[in-house]
Amino acid sequence: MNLTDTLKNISNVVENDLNLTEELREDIINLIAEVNVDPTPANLRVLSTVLEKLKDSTKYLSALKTFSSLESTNLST
Amino acid sequence: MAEIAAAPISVTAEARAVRAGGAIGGVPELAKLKLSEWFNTAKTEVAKRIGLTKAEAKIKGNEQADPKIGELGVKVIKGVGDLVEKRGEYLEKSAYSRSARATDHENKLQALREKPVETAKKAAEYDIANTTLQMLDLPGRVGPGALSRIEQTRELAQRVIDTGSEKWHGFWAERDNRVAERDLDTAVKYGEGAKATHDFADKFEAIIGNKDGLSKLKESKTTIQNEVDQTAAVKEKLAGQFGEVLTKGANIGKGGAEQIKQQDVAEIKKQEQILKDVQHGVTAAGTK
Repeated sequence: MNLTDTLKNISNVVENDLNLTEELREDIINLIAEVNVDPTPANLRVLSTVLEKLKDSTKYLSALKTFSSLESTNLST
Repeated sequence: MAEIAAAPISVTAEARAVRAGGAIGGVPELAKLKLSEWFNTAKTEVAKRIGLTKAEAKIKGNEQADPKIGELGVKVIKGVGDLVEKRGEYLEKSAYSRSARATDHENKLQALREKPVETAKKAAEYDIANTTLQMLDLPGRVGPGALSRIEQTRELAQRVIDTGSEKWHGFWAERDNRVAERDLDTAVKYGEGAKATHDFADKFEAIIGNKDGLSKLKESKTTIQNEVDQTAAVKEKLAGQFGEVLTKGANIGKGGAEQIKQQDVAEIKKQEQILKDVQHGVTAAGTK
């Protein structure tokens, strides 16, 4: 898989991530598109940093969501 | 997850927080914390681990990157920060709310476990009151189909009373307690409605029952007005008298002092005489 395909796949994943706000999704997709046009190592590092933090924050929110869901599960038992 | 779902219903909010902390993993120290502590620690840990500020600095420090891409990257990082904060706050509040509900639910259940007979009796009492309301065709009565529910509740109450509380432990007791709890809630709601209706009816009856109440009220008003007028007249009269006293005050002051002085002297003399008489009396008694 070449770089363009990889970026396209990431862009699709972001587009379907309903946990993100619409504005945030648009910004990330725009960033991916810009990097795709000019994929220099420095630009790719920016994208890499952003995606890494996006992944970390998603993990955090998932953890909180899981915790909240556990409360619901217990209530419904 | 399956382990937690199968846990007993009586677990406390704290116990759930402990298990949830462990279940999330990656932050094992969270497993031993209470709900509020869990969130506080989680936020601190995440702030350290996510490191959005560092990421922003890293992007800004990447001078070789296209400025437009750098700006967009920083914007996304800030957006991620806002999202984490807002979503985190929502989830935290939601967890607190659920925890409070769970605690309330468990407390109610515990009360039912401890006093199933009393609870069922209470439910029956409310329902009997509602039945009476229906029979009297009073407003605020329970809806159609209530009679069968009332009968069911009454049967349940009787069954609990007959069986005795000892036999109502365990799973079946919990199930029946839940039914009783639901019926009790409904019955309380109807009961309160019925009470409000009764109160209103009492007040209304009092008004209707006292047909000449209004005329009596008018009479009272007239009497009070008369009293007020009379009081005003008396006050006016007193004010006049007071004015006279003030006018004559100077004359009283002029001639009064000498008169008072003479009166005092006469009084002292009189007291001296009494004292002498007493002394004579005492002396005379002592010589007898």
